[in-house]
This record gives sequence, C-alpha cells and structure tokens, in this order.
Amino acid sequence: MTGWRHQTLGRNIDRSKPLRFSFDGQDVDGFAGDTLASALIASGQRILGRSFKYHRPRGLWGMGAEEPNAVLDVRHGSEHWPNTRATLARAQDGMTVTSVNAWPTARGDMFRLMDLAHRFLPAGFYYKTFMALPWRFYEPMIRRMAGLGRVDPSCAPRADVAQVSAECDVLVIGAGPAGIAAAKAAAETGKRVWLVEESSQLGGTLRWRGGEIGGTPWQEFAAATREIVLAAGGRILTETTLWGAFDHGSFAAWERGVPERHWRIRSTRTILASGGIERPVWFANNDLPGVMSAEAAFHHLILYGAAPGRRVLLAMASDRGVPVARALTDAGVEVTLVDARKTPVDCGVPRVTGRIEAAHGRRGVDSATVNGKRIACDTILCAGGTTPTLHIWCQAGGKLDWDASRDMLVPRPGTAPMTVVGAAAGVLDLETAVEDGWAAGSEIEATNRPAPKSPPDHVFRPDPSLPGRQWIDLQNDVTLKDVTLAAREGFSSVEHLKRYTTLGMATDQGRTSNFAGLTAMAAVTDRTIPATGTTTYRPPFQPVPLRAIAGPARGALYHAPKRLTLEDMHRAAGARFREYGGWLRPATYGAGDETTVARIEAQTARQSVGVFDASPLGKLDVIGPGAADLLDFTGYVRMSTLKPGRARYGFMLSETGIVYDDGVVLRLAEDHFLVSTSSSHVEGVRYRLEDARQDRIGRGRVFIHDITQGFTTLTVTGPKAREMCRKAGIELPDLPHMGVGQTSFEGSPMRVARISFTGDLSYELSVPANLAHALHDRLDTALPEVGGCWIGLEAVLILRAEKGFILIGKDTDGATMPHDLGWGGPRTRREDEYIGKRSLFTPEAQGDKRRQLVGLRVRDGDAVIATGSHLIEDQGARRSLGFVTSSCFSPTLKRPIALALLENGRDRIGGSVQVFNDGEVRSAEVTMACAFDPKGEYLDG
Amino acid sequence: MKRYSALSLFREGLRAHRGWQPAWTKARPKPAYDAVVVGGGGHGLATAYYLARIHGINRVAVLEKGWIGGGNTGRNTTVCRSNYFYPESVALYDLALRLYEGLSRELNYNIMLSQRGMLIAAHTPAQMEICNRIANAMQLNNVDGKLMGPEEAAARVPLINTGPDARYKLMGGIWQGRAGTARHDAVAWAYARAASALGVDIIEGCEVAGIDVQNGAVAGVETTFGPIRTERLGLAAAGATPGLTAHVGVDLPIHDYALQAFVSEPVKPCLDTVLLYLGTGTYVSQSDKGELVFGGGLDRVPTHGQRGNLPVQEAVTAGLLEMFPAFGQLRLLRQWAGVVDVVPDSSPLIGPVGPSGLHINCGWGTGGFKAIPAGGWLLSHLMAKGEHHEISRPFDLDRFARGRLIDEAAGSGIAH
Amino acid sequence: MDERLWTDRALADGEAIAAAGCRISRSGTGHQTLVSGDLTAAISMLAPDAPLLGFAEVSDTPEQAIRIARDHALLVTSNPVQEDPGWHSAGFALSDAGNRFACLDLAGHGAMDVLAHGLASAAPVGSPSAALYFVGLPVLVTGTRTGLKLWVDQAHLTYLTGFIARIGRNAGPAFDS
Repeated sequence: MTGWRHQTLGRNIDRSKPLRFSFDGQDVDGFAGDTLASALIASGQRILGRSFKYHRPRGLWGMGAEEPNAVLDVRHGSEHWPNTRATLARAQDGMTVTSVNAWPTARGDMFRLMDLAHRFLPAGFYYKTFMALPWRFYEPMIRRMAGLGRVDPSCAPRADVAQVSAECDVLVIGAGPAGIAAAKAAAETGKRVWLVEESSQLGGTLRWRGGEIGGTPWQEFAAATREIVLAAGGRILTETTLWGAFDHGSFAAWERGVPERHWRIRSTRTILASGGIERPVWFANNDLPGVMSAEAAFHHLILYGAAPGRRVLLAMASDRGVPVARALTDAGVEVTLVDARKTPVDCGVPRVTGRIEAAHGRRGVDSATVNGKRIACDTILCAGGTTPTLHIWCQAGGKLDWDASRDMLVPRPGTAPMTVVGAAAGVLDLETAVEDGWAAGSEIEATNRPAPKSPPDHVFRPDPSLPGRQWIDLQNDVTLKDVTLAAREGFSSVEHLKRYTTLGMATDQGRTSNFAGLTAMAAVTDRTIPATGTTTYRPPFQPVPLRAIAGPARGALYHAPKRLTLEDMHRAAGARFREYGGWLRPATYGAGDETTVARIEAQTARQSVGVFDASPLGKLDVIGPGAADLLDFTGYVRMSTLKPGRARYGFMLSETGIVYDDGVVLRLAEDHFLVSTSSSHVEGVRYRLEDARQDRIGRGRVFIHDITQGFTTLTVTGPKAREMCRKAGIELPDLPHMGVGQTSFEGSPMRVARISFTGDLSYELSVPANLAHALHDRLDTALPEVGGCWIGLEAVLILRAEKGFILIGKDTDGATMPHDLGWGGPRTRREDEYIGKRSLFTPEAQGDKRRQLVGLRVRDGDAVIATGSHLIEDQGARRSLGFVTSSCFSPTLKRPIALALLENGRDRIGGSVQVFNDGEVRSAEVTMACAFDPKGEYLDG
Repeated sequence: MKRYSALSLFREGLRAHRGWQPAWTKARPKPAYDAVVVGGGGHGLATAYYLARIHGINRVAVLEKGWIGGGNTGRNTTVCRSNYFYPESVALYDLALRLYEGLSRELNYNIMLSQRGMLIAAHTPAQMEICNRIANAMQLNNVDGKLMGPEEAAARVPLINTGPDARYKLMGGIWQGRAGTARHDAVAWAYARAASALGVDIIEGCEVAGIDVQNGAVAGVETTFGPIRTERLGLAAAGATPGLTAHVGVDLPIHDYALQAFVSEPVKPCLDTVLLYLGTGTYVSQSDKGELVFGGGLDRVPTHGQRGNLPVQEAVTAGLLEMFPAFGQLRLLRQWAGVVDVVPDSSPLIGPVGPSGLHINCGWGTGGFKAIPAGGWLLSHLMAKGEHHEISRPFDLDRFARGRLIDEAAGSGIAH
Repeated sequence: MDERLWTDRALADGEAIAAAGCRISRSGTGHQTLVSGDLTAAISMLAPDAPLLGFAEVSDTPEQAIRIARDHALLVTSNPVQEDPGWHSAGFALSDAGNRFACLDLAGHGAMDVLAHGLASAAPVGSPSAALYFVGLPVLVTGTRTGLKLWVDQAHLTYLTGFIARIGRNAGPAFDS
C-alpha cells in the first residue's frame, strides 16, 4: 500500500490544471500547485532515492528544508537543477525528474548490495584502511560513489539574480501565528515591518491544523495583517528564505519568485518566529520508505490531498499527534496510535500503549513490531516532539539553554539582538505563541510565565538496547551504532562526533539528526546535554543557490576595467585593446601579428613621432602650505627643492623601504604640486598621502584632490614632436626637459609637460575630457604629415625598456629598494625623516647580495629571452641569482634586450651569467639597464 | 595502539566494532613534563608526535583549550602544495609536502592525501610572466613546477569558462602535479593518535592563562587545571599566540582576520584538480565527498570572530561562477570562517622568543594547513635541540629587524 | 593575443534606460571644481549661490556644492570659476576637476530602488555627505525634483550603463509601486 490522492482535500492544488512529469522514466500525474513531493506521494511513488552509503531505499520524510531523502535531479526545458529538494520544488508540466546516486533507477538501484556489507562500512571506516597504496588509487572509485546529483556541463544558468539592499524598522522572520501576530502589532504602532516567510503562504502550521488567532479565523487575521503591514509602508516577502544573520544587524534573504532576488536587509529590530521541526522516533529500520513525519503527513494531506498510505501507525507521546490522526481518519485512512506515555489520554482513535521497536519491509514498510508483537501497516508516522528552529538566533551569536521541562534547547535570553517567539522559543501552545508574538511586536514585555515544572511524561530517545540499526542521519547514513562507535573511539565532543561520523553535515544540515546525535552521545558518555554541547550554526540556513549570492557580476559586469574617454576614436583607428592596470587601453593599432606591429610602432616613434593616450596615469593635486612637507615625508626623492614649472622623478616607499610606486611630480606653484602615479596605484598612493596628511602634516595645511579622470592626456613623442605640434596648431611653450607649462587650446588651458618615458623628445598634452576629441582630431590630422602614427602600450613598453625605465610590479618585486634600482642618492644624502628611511639601513638593506636592476644581452641569435627566466652562475650549484623582468626585441638596436634583477648586478656588468628557463640554459652578458642613448641625447629631439 | 587495516576493519566488523579503542587518550595533566606544547591543532599535535618519535622525548603534554583540531585545522580548504617563489619558502612547504606524502603509512591513519595537482591560472601576458618566474623558481629548487599553456590548462579544468563572454580568457598557468588536498580533520586525529600511542598526554579543555619564568628561563605554565612545570614550552596556537607571548612581554607582528570558506552541495565528480585563478582570486577544489570547496580573499577587518560577512561571500561566489558558469546549478551548503594570523610579509614566525626555553610556531596566516608536518617537525627540532634547523632559520622573528622579509605575496605578484 | 572583446559602451547623450520604475539618462555636468579646507570661504568666493548638498538633497539651482567629506566638496557651476587652481589664503585649496564626473539622471519613483540594487547596505539617508559606494565605485548622490542624480568618475560610465541596463532587464521593480 502506498500513497494516494484524496478526492477533495488539497487547498493548494488546482484540479482544473492537471500536469504531468516523469520520475525515473515513469509518468507522474499531478496538479498545478503540487510540489514534486506531494505529486509523487499522491501518485503512489514511494522510493524516491537511495541512501548515500548503503544504497538503502528511501522515501519522503518531511515537508520542507528538513527533508533528508527526496533529493532529486530536475530538468525543465533548458534548465537543470541537480540537487532539488522535492518538498520545496513546484511541480511543472514536462519536467524530467530523476533520482540521484542510484542507477539505473531508485527502485532498481544496482548498488543496493552495498547494504549487505554494512558491517564493514561503519562511520569513518575509510580512515582505517585504503593505506596500502597511495590514495590516488582508491580515490576515483570513492568519488564516483559519492556525490548526489550531477553537474550538466552544457547548462550555464544566467547571472540574473538582482542583489538589493533594504532596511526596515522591524524584521519578522516567519509567518506562522506568532510571526503574524508580531507583524500586525508592530505595524499597528506605525513601524515599517518586513515579514519574511519561506513558504508561499502566511499561516504556518495553521494552514493544515486550522485555528484562531485572537478569536478570529486565522485566514482573516492573516489577511488583515497583510493590509496593515503594507499600509504602514512595510513589505511581505513569501517564498523567501532568510538564510543568514551577519554583523551589525544585516540579514541575507533569497526570494525564489519571479524575479528572483538576493536581499540584504538591515533592520532596527528583529523578531524570530521561525517555528520548529518535528523530531523523528527511533526504532530499527526507521529509514524505510513509509516512515514519515506526522506533521508532514498532515501538511501533505490538507494542502495537497496527498495521503501517505492506508494503514498507519502513529508513534507519539503528546496530544500534538491527535489532530493528525483525526484528519487521516476523516480522510479514510486506518490509523492506530502507538502512544508511549505511561498515562495516555483517550481521544477516540484506536490506540496501543507502548512503542515501536522495529519497522519491517523490503522496499517499504509492510509491518512493525510494537511491544514485541508484529502489526501490519504501510506507513509509520512519527510525532517525536519538536526541535525549535534556532539557526538564525545562533548565527547572530545567540546561545542555547537546555530546558528539560520542555525537552528542548531554547534560546538564552539576551545573547543575541533579537526576540524569539512561538515554537522557536519552545512555546507550542497556540494562544501563548500569539500572545508572545503580539507582545514582541508591540515592544511590551511578555508576561512572565513560569515554565512547566515537570518534564514531559515521555521523551523519545534513540535506545541502544534495541536490536537492529536505527538511523540518526538519514542522508549521510549515520546510525546509532556509529554514534556509539564514535564515543568508543573518543570522538565524544559534539564537533568531533559530527566530523567523524558526518552526522549533520548533509544537505538537510542536521535538522532531523543533530538533536538525536547530541542526546545519544550524551547518553553513551553519561553526560548531561549541556555538558555535551551543541554544534555551531553557520549561514546559510538552508542551501542557497550560488547564483543568488553571486548576483549579476559576470562577464562584462565582473571587475570591469576603466574606459578611456577616447576609446571610440582608438577603435576607429583600429586599436586592439587589452587591460593594463585596471584600464582598457590600446595595445597596438591595426591588424597583423601584435609583436610585429608593436615593433613597427616603436620604430616609427623613434624615427619620427608617435602619439599615445596616457590618460590613466594618476594625477593627484597636492595643495597647501604643507604640500612640500607632505611630499618630502612620503617620498624618497625630495620635492621641496623643486622649482615651480619643473618636474622631478621620484618614488614612494613603504615603511619596509620597498618601492611602492614611482612617478613624476610637477611643481606648479610654491604650494601646488601635481603628483603622477602609476595608473594602477592611484587609490593606493592617494591613501598613503592622506594617511600622512592626517597623522603628520595636519589636515589644515595640505589637501589632496584626485583629478585623474578629469583630463585626457595625449603624449607626443619622437624627434619630430615639436614639428608635429606645430602642424597640429598647438603652440608649445618653450620648456626645458622636465619642465611644465601651459598653453591655450580651444579657449581652455592645456597643460604641457615635457616628460619622457620613451627617451625621445616628448610632450604630454592634457586637456579637460570634453576637449579630448578635439585634441585627438588635431593630432590625428597632423600625424600623417610628419610620417608618425598612433602607438599603443606595447610599443611604449618597448621604448621604455630600451631606456631601462622600470615598471612597478614588473621590474620591481616585494624586495626591491630604491638603491637596487640605482637610486642610492637620497638614501645617503637625506638627513630628514621620510617613510621607509629606517628600513633602508637594516643589515639586509645594506647587504652585498642585493638584487639590482641590470640589462642583459644575448649573442646567440635573435630569440628573445623568456620573461621570468632565472639567472644562475656559470658553474657550481644551481641557485637563483635573480630573474628576468622585461624582455623584447629592440627595433632601435635590432637585437633582443632584457631587464633583470640580479644579485650584485652592478658589480657584474661586463661579465656573463646563465639564463635558465624550463630546464634550458642560455648565456648572457650583463649590461647597464639602459641599452639605448645612456647620455640622453635624444631627449632634445 | 590497535593497528588500522582492512583486516582489522573486517575482523571488527564481525564483532560489531566493539574492539576499537579511543583514538587518543584523553589525559589528565601531570604536574610536570619534559616539554609542553600549547595548541592542539595540526601543528601542535605534529610537534608532540615528532618530539616523541624523532627526539625520544615523550613526557610531553599538548594543551588545547577546546577540542583538538577545532581551530583552523578544521576550518581550512584542505589544499597541500609547495608552489612558492622564494627558496626559503619552497624548502619549508616542500618539506611539509614530502612528509605528507608518507604520512598515512607512517601514522597508520588514512589522511586521504589526494595529489591531484594544482593549477594557478593566468589570463594576461603579465600574469604568465609571473607564472614563468615562479615555475622556474620551483625547478631551481628541485620541486615539480611547470608552466602550462592554454590548451593544457583548459584540459585540466574542462568546465572552465571559455565562451566569448567570459571575463577572463585562460592563458595557462603554473602546474604542480604533487599538490593536492588532504582530509583536514584526519591529519589532526592521525597525529593525535600516533602521539598518544607514544605516550604523549593530550589534554583538552585546558586553557593557558600565564607563563612562569624564573631567571630568564621558562619554568612552566598556569592552566585551567592548575600549574604545570616544564622547561621546554612551544606555542602553536595560531591567532591566540600573541596573547600568550604577551605574558612574557613579547609583541608579535600579527593581525588576525577572518578567512571564509564555502562548500557546495555534493555532486558527482566534475573537477579533478585544485584551481586558483589569478583573475578572480577565487580558488576551488572538489572534495572526495563531492562537495565543491572554495574560497578567496580575507575579510579585511581585524577580528577573532570566526565569521565573515556578505561582501566577501558575494565576491568569492561571483568569481567562482564567472570561472565555472555550470556551477550556477549548485547551492551553497555550508560557510564558515577561521581566524588567520597574518604577518606583514605573509610568512610564518618560527623560532625562539623571550625567555630561554620558549619557542613559537605561528603566523601561518592563510597557509597553515599545507605546512602542518613541517611546522611540527621544525618546532620539535627547536624544542629538543634548542636551536634552529636550517629550514626554519629564515623564519625567525628577527628577520624583521634584519630586514630579511620573505614576502611571498608581493614577490610572486599575486594579489593578497 | 586572444583576449576578451569589449563591445559594451557608455550611455550616450540623449539615450535613456528604463529600469525599476525609473528613467536613466545622461545629465549635464557643468564646470567641475574640487575644493577643500574652509568650504564656506570657498563657496562664498567661487559660487555664492550654491547650496551645500548632502546625500540625495534636492536643489534646483545650476550652481551646487556637493559635499564629499567634512572639508571637501565638488563645486558644479555653469561657468568656469574665476579663481586659479591652487592654494588660496582665505583657507582653501582649489583644483580644476576638468570633466572628472559624468552624471546620470535617475527620474522616477524607482530612483531609490535603482540605488538599492547597488548598495551593500541601507542608503545613508540624512547623511551630510553625498558620497557613498555604489557597486563598489565611489559616487556622489544628489536629489532632483523627480529623482536622483548619480555622479561618477568618467571611466566607470560604461560599466554603470551595463549594470543599470541589467537591472532593467532582469529584476523588474524591486518595490511595488
């Protein structure tokens, strides 16, 4: 006997809209509104999967996230969701649903013989064996047996979940009776209330149990609540799982609807009304299909008309199971209560006093042993008690106390910034729960109610004296014997128990197993429950799609690079773009092999003129009477001696003396400097300047403005640079090398700086971004007249490499100090304090084995040295003396050039060194870093 | 110590497993020991084991304030590797990897060392240059490292995003074949069992409240179980170590941050190697249980909270799905954080501090799990012999005064 | 080099995106000047009619002083300011910011919703500073009669265009109207 569909019951289903999907190849009929679980139950499908280790048949247990067994692979159209919980998934027409971890079907799983070997596969068995050979030999087999669903390589879900921030006055988590009462009360005081409910409806357990709230039928109360909450400016989110409590009152919630959203909610006050979960009852073979939570059976019957079977045993020890029995009986199911209480109360349903000791059946329940006697049945419902759902409380740092009188772990007041009401607080009585919710919503102190003095008549516990296997964690196949074994082997703290047996680590996150594991361990080690401890709870409350957390950041929206104002013009000129330092910049212009094109561009720039877009270089205005002091303190090269109208190259060091950035500083006036930074270090340099400004120089004495993106800078470089500008109608001021001035362009001031990164005569022209296109036009028109061209960054890198000019982070590393680069002057000469100074005089900084910047020259052909090659001695043990940092073919010198950091490099100039790359070795001559025009004669054109 | 083997497993299976003994003895502290190790994580337990096994000192106590392996040893993403840049680092981490390679057999406990390889993947020419630099450094240090091109790299991670809309185009990277993963809890339990079998006392629930010093030398510790005398004290307590050295007036340059880690629901095998992609900063591997284990950067706010916040979660997860769009079919199952003790140059602190007889092994930051055997081995050497082994010498605290930082993060160009 | 082809582009003048109950278009930015130090002195000298605006504060005037920090503001004026860049003895520093900021006009009741899609936490309503982080980018947010204005560094405009267009395509209204 299996599940069936009641003729009329089923508030959530629409019988006018039938649907069909397939499960393991078989057709399953259902209705709109069904979940996969309800449709499968109602259609008589009992075996929904196979257990993880022993491949035992498994059926539906629960009704929500606590469901441990019915994990299914779902396909619908092009969508694929491998590990779907049947209880939380809406059934849709045309779905293809398959069981996981079973082959070919759950009913006829090939691996079911694993169960025969269960004696040899207890918890942790893999730690005790598989050592004869390296793990790699056993691993493939183990991996194939593990895992639930399968990732479909061809299915790439879109990044379409919006991430939205929100705030509210009161956040109410859970829309059961206590939550609804709290929300209504708070809204009535004018608060903006956000009520978040995981299922699709308000009402909680009242949806199947029925009942009144404050004398009103619950549906009316819920409707009134909705009205009042919305009127007060609040919001009700259903089908939304509040899954994480984070610092500072922040919460994360996943709204499953259309559109799907990832909410980040900040609340002033929080009320947790998350209810409780029904506990199992433990007996031998309690994992058979047909063993189900009584509350879940009730839920499925009333909401979906899905009845679990025809002959039901209902194990219980409190009156909470009685309405379940009555409802089933009314629906035509034969129910016998198995009441474990010593003094049970008569309720009109056939009853046996005692307990279930074992369930029997091959593929599902067909009978049970009760008080030593065999009773035929097809379903065993368990009403084992309630475990409050307190994940969010614990995530927020809340502690739990053991309440023996309620047989529950309940929140310890004051240990987390939220109020807990209802079943989550251990209050199962409807009226009391509503009262507490009301009080919390109104911010009134709840009436102090004494806790029940005596513990319940009977509490269910796993009993090790029962023969047979009793399951504690269904999904991870952990039995009571495993808990005993763990205790025997000393894994008796709750965390060790969990990690050793994997109890509570499955996708149901221990909802139906943690309590049993804890109490069993406490019993076996003869400790109290508080002494045994509880595990910590971490987000997510329930498995949340990775898509929801990742949001829309994908492709072009992931770590997007910054874009140039003139990007369209560069594209029109045929530029190929690449990311450099967080910006999208032209690498080369025109089609063809990039390396060849770059060489030609570099050659053109050396011979006539090249123009490149240097806008990304940082531009920080440093202004004020303390400006010079600030730069002297934060820089390695003193700028206070720089004259207005001049520029100077310098470094910024870290406290460790390591070079952090390099750049040119322009002095525009006595108290006005313009600091240029590497394009990737603008923020970093600004912060360091700010740091010193606030802590050392004084906030009133100097100010830093980032104007990098206000201006477009085009650099005209080459022997014909002046001629080019003249032809472009640009009147250049008369400037010495490293001089800065101003001219007019289209009625606006244009800064002109004669600074050279290429070694040629070079003018940096800066205009406000809205004049960028005009400047580009002028230069573009003039270029062909002088035989010049636009050059990309690859060409610029070649030109600067020929001069031995460094790129931070490429030709420097985490150990490079300024004197390694040949800039030892300030170190020996400066007597004033500056950042990094002390570190320049440690034994290491003064050592004689420092890696210094040099050039390399090979004589064995035109093959360029691989960047990243290491340098080793000609003879003796192979030890790295340094490495190649930049390398290219120089069109100017017509040979390969390279820069490297080499131990004792400067002393080795003129000598030779071996270059090691992936096992191959070449010989190279050590030279000065500057390979072209060391005297700088080309700077004047 | 009852031997673990397929045979003993079979025999016990016939006896309902009644014959298994506690994996380690839960000891009560004695008044005095020849050596005391504070910190019952992987490093502390390994230290005690090697003290007994190699140096013949077995009157040793390991003091753990919680339950063993409950700190970062139980919270990491289980990666083992030695693909580092500086020769000092390579020597250190490869010592650990070599010890890991024989550990299951040596300790008679399956730690499931899966040497499935690790790929540090690059997407720009500049990154490939850095990768080449590291690969060559590894080769010169006689460690298996090689530079892979795009096709070979893509073959290692078949699900990686190679579509036209991919943010990053895989260009290749550094491959270390011997790198991989291990079962983190098992490493702690394995060392605990072996140490215990050699006579070491493992004392849980025991917190150290003070260090006794007499005449400039260690005399013992104050604990929740009362005073314990010893002349050899080793501190392997990660983020808690600065609090301990403060008792003897030693300041350690350590900042504690939260490092989050994430685990998806388990699925059938779909990723066969460990991957760190420089573009996203997210790293991922698949456990033997089928769960995807992934992580990324730190929560850059100092904390002891063992929990992180949403911004990092969102960033790391976005990185994962950008690399592997198919993983958008999966859900997050668990998330946690460890407290990582970060040193300014991202290299550990190993060596003597303060009064004679006191040694520390900490500051491993985000990289302590892969180094457990080496950390234990080296600390035991220090405690037994009173001096550095040549592999631990460069990591002494005095390197800051000397200026000899071992800055792996900056040295290798990988953003930290 | 086989690298990613970037084909997206920034919102152009005259174009508009509809998203979350809001119409987003480019707005004029006038002349931009950064001032620091004594803001009162700076404003009275450079743009006497400009109100000092905090987060989402509404102003109709073409001259505005958008507060960034306690002692730092962005002056937006119809004409270039009369003073030179540099230090002024009245106690403030002045920089010509060129066209550093681009401006997006968010018109419609959904303006705050659009903002909510890019904030890591609740909007800083009432803050004297108009500066905040929107999708990780530093931006300034001022108010208009019909909604909000978002001031962002030029170079990020392409990304923001794509991000906001995404909101329009996927998410629908974040809040019921």
